[in-house]
Amino acid sequence: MEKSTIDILWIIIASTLVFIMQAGFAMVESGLTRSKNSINVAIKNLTDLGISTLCFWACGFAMMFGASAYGFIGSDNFLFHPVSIWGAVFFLFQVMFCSTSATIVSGAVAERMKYSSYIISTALLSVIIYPIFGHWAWGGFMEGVPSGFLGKLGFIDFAGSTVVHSVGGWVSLAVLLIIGPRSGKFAEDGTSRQINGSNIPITVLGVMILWFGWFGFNGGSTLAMNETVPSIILNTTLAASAGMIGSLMVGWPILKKPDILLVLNGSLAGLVAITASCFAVTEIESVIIGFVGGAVMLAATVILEKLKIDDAVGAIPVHLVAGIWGTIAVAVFGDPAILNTGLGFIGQLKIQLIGIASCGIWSFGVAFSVLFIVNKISPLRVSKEDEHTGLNKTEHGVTTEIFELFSVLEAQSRTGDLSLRAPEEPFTEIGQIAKMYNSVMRKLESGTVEKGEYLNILDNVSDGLILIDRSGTISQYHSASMKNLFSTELISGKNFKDLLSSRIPENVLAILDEFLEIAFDKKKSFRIVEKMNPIPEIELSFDNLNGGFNVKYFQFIFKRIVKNSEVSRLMIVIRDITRQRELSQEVEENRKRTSVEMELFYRILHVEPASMRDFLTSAETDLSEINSVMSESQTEYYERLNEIFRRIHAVKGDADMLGLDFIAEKAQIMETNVAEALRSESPSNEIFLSLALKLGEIRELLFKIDSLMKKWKTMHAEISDDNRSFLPRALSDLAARLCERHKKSVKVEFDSGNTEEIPSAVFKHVKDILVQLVRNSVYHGIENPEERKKLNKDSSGKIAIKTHKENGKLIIKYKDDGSGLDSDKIKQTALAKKLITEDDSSALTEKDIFALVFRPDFSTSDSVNKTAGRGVGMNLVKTLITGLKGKIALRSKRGESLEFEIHIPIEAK
Amino acid sequence: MTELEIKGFIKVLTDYFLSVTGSPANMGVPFIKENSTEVFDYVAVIGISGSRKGGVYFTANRPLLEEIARHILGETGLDDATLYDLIGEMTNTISGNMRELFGSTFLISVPIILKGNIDEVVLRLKPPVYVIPIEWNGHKSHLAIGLE
Repeated sequence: MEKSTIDILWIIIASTLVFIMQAGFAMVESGLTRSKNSINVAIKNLTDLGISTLCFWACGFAMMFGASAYGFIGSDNFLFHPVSIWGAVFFLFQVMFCSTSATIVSGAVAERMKYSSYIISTALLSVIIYPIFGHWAWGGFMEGVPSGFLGKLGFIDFAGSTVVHSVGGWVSLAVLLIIGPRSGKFAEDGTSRQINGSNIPITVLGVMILWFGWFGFNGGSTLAMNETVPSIILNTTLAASAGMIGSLMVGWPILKKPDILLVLNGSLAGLVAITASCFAVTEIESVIIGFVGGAVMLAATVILEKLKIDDAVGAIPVHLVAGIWGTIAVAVFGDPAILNTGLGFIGQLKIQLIGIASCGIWSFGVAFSVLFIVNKISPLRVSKEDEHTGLNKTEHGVTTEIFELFSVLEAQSRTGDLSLRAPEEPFTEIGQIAKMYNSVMRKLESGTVEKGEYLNILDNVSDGLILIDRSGTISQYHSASMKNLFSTELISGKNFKDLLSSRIPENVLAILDEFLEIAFDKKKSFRIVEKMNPIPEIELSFDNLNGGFNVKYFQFIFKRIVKNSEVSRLMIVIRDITRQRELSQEVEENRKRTSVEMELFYRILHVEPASMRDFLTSAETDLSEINSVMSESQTEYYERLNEIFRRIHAVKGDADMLGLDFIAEKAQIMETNVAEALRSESPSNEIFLSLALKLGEIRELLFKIDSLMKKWKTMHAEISDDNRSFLPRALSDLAARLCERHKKSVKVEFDSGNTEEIPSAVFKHVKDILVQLVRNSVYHGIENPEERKKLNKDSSGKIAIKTHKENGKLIIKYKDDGSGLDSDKIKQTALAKKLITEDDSSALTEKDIFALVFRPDFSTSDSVNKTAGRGVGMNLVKTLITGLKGKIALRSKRGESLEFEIHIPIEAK
Repeated sequence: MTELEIKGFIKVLTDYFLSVTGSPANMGVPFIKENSTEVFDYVAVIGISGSRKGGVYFTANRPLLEEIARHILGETGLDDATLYDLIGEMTNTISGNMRELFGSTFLISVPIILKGNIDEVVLRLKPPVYVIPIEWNGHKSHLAIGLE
């Protein structure tokens, strides 16, 4: 085919215009992707130009435009060498088309496909997919005679709506189905997330370049500079505009905004749609085709989102879908005369659809099959980490300023390392942002490091450290130890007093309330306020929720925090001094115990250990008996009191005998209380409360003495428990003390010589009996020295006690040389106490009268004192002997003596 | 421990019986707790700290508690869980009243309810422990107080 120079020139210009479209694609795709991937996308655009050019030169051109083999594939002109000027020009124009088709893919698969994978897909498209389909549609075009099977059938695709754009779109779809969407594009619920482009202005410029380049793309497809070229370029620009408007008119109401993609991709869709029919339609038809192209692009975009197919730049809606529409539009709007296929509308539409289907089956089929296998061998997609980092860095090792800035920010958010700084590229916006950011970071770092140091201190200090405001609320920062001190996680925001309430008594809490109010009063000198601290050292009781408390001792130190001359906060230092306090308490308790023990020791020092041991045993027996009587609910009220009376009297007597006044006095108080209760005519159990308390006191005292004795015993192992030889001396000592108290003089002669003969089983009772008899003799029987002198008696009285065993009995003979019993006085006392009547008194024998002294409450004493007066002693003697199943006989010689003879069965107890 | 303090504890308990049931409770003859002194079916232990340290326990048999339940809930034949809840409520009220009476100087713990033979250690009362028998509607119970 011969061409004029002007035709050749036009096609060269058209080729350069199509070449410029590569720049447009690079701008559109890199601008619509994130900056971390923008370089990768741009470099892929340049790469596919180079790859596709070489591939198309080596074999693509031959397979597309070589001599047709069965209308399916070109078969010559491999490693293309032009034999004419036109041949070279034609190749130049066609290789640009091939590159255009290849570069469409790079945008769709942007931000996730490996660079190496992209080279494979570009080569596949340039070597096989594009040339073979191109042959079907355009084979023989160089010669002006269709040789491909579609061309022969009348398939019209003037500048490549299907041949160039749909092929690129089908391959894009195949790749996208294999590699999947970008990370984060679709949420788990299926909703799509918009991923914003990095440079929309550059995308806009790219679209304008494409639009401009399209004049060559469509205008050059005449392959001649003829009268149709201006009309084609006019239709092209009208369709682009209509595509933009169509997309906007449909999309704006739906999206509620003039989305930038509506404008950008609407224009491109209009351009793609008009490409097939631009030579055979009118201006109005071009507008309609472009308008519909914009609308179908929008619909396809929505459908792809629904199908979760992530096309990064909208390449499939623009190039595939608008391309299909444009190819159909040939049949719908194309002037049959110009189309010159000899087909009617249906025939043309049918062949157009066959062309579209053939393209889809071939392009998608081959691309999907080959790349699916390749993907299995070597994944087409980059790793998740690489995708996150960005393909600029991971694929090419290059970064952008914004990427560097992001990297620093990300590293900081991940590591918390505030010392990281962003690179400050001078004279760039990002550089300025980085500079400002670094400046902010420097200040933040200095503040944060300072705060971090304080927090470090708070984390490690063992004392509790808190700040409270005027309302008592604890501020956000406090020492970590607070949680341990107060056994709670909730410290911040809590009221300080709430930390203490229920752990210290309410009265202290009330004082603390007043103290805090004063502490915040700046008019009050803090030096004085400090001294008012009600809790400098305080015991805190933590409820262990197990029916008890864990007690701790804390020290509280208050300091004012003054800001702008106002007391803004109080700093409270809380120190756990439990250990120190316990140690000092232990020392103090030891000191007190030692002091008490020493005092006790001095009080009991005069008592022979064996006597003391015996006293402790017998007193504990009596006290236990009293407690037992109290706890027996069946016992009658007065009977119970009488029994207590007798027992406590015995304890008193024993204590008295040993000179243990401090015990005797307590027993005396109990005795008095019981006596009062006995006299009272309204029985009340409340009296027993004070008795129980006193009983407890005496038992505690005995317990302490017992402990002391045990220590003593440890020191003096020779102290024997069973040494009963103390009795004669104890009775002598008792008599001596009573004499001293009552100004008398008495000697006790214990004639058994060996008290060991008294069986231990009855020893306590025998001792108690003798104690009471000695008390009785000294107080009642034996006269004072003056009286005795008047009666020609020795000034010193005598008590003779003899014991021996006889016929299984212990015989005790007791005699004093006192005044004996005064039967008249006994009778009078009994009458006064209404123990007998006047009639009884006249009938009583002396023996009967003497028996009265053993009655409870009977005493001839005029007053009550430590020795006598309660009428308990002789009753106790009688009770004890009765308890031992023994007998007592009494013989009194008025003015001379009083004798008792007691028989106690030794086996009785 | 003073007589006044013990009387305070007794008053809180007897007042509780009177206010809840309308029938007065009577104090028996107090005595000192021995090792052999046994507790009844249920024991409610209340810890005391502050100016005095030690504890108080109230122990009663199931029939007493069931009768009180009848007064409070109007129900009979209560299961163990409900009875525990009731004793918990009862001892909470009693310890709350103790807090009102002694709160200014004493700290009264949240009570715990125990059943059966109680280990002496669990009671944590400071000897000597004074046991005050309380009789109500023919039922026996003990209030024991052991403060240092």
